[in-house]
Amino acid sequence: MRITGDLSKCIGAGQCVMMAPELFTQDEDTGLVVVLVEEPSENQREAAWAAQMACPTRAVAVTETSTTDAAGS
Amino acid sequence: MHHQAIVPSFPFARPGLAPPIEYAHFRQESGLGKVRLWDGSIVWLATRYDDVRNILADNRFSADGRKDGYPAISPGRSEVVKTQPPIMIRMDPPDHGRHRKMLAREFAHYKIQALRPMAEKVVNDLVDSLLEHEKPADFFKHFALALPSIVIAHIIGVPYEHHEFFQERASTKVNLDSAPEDAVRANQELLAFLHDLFKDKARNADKNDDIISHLLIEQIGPGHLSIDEAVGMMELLLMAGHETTANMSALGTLAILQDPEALEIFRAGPPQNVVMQAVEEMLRYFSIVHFTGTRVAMEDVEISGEVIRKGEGVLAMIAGANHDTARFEKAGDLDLFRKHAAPHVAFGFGVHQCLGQPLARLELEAVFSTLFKRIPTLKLAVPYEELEFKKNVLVHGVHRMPVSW
Repeated sequence: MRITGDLSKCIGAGQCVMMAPELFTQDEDTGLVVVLVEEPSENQREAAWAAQMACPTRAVAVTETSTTDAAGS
Repeated sequence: MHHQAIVPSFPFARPGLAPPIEYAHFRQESGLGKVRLWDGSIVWLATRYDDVRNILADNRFSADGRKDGYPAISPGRSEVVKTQPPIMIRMDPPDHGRHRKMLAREFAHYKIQALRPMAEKVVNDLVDSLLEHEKPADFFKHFALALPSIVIAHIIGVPYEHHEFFQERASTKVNLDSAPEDAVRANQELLAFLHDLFKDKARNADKNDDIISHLLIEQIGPGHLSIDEAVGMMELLLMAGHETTANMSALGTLAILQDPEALEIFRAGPPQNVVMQAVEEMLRYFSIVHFTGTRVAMEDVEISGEVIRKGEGVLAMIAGANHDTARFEKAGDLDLFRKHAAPHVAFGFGVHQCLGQPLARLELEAVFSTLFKRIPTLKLAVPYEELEFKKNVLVHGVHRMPVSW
């Protein structure tokens, strides 16, 4: 699984930080998304999906990177 | 297509805490519905969770009230959005993003969390003064409205001594029954007041740590933002920063008072996660900013099998979405212990999603972690049935909330 944050879409609503504070923060100068963990562990997957679901501008994207990853290696 | 014999008039009555019953009927119908506005125009109504999110996240819908077909929901709103300079919530990308990003860091999580001790102190001070008040006291006026007014004034840099001035004008502006000239006058008086404040604060902006001073130095000074644009921005923050949280904290208090199990837990001093969970459910269930989500299509867009034509108005109703049983189990029940009330759309969705939501959450958490612990005997001083809910107001709530203890 891989997490990306698209700065051209992000408006700094902070939903990702609320849903998954261990995976995201906001830049101190701009308030925009900073992905802290690009490849989340198995027990962080649910939080990553929740952050993607909550992002109002769909700037946060979560993608499965490989079958091994999807199986939870 | 819909073949309704009569297109119902919008808005619908909302006589209590729950959204209008009509939204449930619309959700049952296939696709989107249609309603008639005060001026006779017929617009689309979206009440399902997925539809509302898809519309609000789609930049082919414009929020600009000056565009042909924009659905202004009252004569006063129509006059304000068509004649007044556009503010951030009525801007489309890329102008919207340019303004929004100037404010993003002011409301970032880490910045707002740093205000927690201040918010908790204000709550405790307001409890002290409420307890000194003669009984019964109006909880809305003496507690609920005061807290967010004090906090937002502090953050923006508006001296709190002007609170009655800005509260009164904001209240006129959000009331759909206000005469158009009164709504415009209230708006202009607020703008003039803030304009003077910017001039005043420009003299020593470098010595002050508030949003007006930050904008003066970082944006207005280098020419990224005009004074008029900044004034419009601050009017929005000032209004949205107190009208909303004030009504949320009054309705939330009401909800806890009506729920014996919750009341017992909140009196005992609930853990933070219990408070946070209850706040999310209050936000979802009350969906108080219930007339937000007014848009006009800039091109033909298909939503749930219906084609919304270019120039047609759309009302994407957050109070409908947040009560969608396809998304929230037993959506019609107010369950303060609900585990998954988020992500709801109480703060909207898309680029216009509420800027101040971390602040709203922080203030509400401060209220509900303290209020019933400090005043365990708090109770309504009138029967629940006698409370007068607001009618035709942009932000839902009660006019007065007499309490005793």
